[in-house]
Amino acid sequence: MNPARGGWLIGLTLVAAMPLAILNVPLVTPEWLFWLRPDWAVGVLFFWAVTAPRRVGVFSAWFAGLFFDVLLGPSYTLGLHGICFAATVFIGSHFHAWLQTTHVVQQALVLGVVVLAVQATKGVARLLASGIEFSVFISMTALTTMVAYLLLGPPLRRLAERYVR
Amino acid sequence: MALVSCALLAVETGTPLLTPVRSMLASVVAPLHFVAALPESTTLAATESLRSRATLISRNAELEREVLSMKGEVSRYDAILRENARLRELLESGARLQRDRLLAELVGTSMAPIEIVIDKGSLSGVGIGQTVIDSAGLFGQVVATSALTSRVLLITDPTHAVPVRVLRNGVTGIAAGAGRGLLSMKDVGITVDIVEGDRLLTSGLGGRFPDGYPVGVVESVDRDPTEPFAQVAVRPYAALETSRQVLVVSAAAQPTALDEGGPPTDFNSPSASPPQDGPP
Repeated sequence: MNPARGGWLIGLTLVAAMPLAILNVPLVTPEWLFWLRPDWAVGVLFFWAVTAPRRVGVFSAWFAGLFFDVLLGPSYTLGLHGICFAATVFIGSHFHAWLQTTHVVQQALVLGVVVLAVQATKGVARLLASGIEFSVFISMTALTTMVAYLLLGPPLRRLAERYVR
Repeated sequence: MALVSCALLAVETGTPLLTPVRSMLASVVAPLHFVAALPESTTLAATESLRSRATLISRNAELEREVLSMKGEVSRYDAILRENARLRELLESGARLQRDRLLAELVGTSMAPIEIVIDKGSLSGVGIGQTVIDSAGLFGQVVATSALTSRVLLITDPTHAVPVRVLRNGVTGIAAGAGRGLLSMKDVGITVDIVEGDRLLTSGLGGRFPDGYPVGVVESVDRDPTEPFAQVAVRPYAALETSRQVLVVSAAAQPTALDEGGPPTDFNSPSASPPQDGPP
């Protein structure tokens, strides 16, 4: 991630995803509202894997995942986010040629499926490791991530065309 | 990478080997909790600064009245504690340990599991397993720490359980989190003497929670003759969903010097002993 070639923008979006992932939600709110928070990190990594596949790698994604594991608490075992992020980057960069030619809505649909798979993986791992109940509301996270991608994807792409080479 | 992740999962689930690694990494990202709390804390600060002078004067007067009334209550508790310590001495069972308290503020929340993040970490002396209370009762326990922050698992989380006793008759049991702001008592036989309105305190059994902290009040008891156990729903005393300030309690090495005479306990002292007979 060379800062001179726009690596700072990739890093900045990923760092911005961290506080957004833990943004406070009052505990009085119903549980489903909590799941309306988009999966910012997966959205950001998917975007960069599609837009600049040579600039993000599965190893760096796995390493970034470690910080999300500790940020979100001990119910996420170390390496859980890493494997999800690495898979996201792998899918995004493997299909980047096809995804770059598709409409942003189609990209968002693929991202929705990826987020659903990521949330399901995390849900199962947490159930096995900590006994935390699997929530059916994970589909709402996928929906809001798709909406966030539709809204923020095009302006971020313009920034990427200008700064990331 | 998949193998490494699975290995980490196995190691972390089965052993505490990775706790220092997690704590170190958590210290690196701890400032992000404060960043994430900025919108909420800024809104609260703005609301506070917009309050009128008259509102503040009236609120101040109300708080002064409250402090006065609580000081009176504390002096009464102090007398009871002194008597209790003397009786314990007579029975040679030893006085309760004095416990330090550390004021902490909420900087983050999580719903699955039901946790909060507080702004005090290992640098302030917070350690895993410490009890957390608010002004009304037991709040939860510290489950992870970084240098600047700690995570507190709330007593209503389904993975949490606390040993309790009924204030009225000393019946003991386990109060487990039931989600939705409630607890439920586990394995209470249908013949056990427990009724609606009973107050529950921590029993101190197991050694994780100190004895005598108010936990909650029995909201309903459902006895089905076809079932061996009663369904007991408990409403916690602590304002789990709205408290922004909590106290982290730790055991100190010295016993309380309650029998030394002197003025009543200073209510503002961080080492004030916990209430012994129910919520304030």
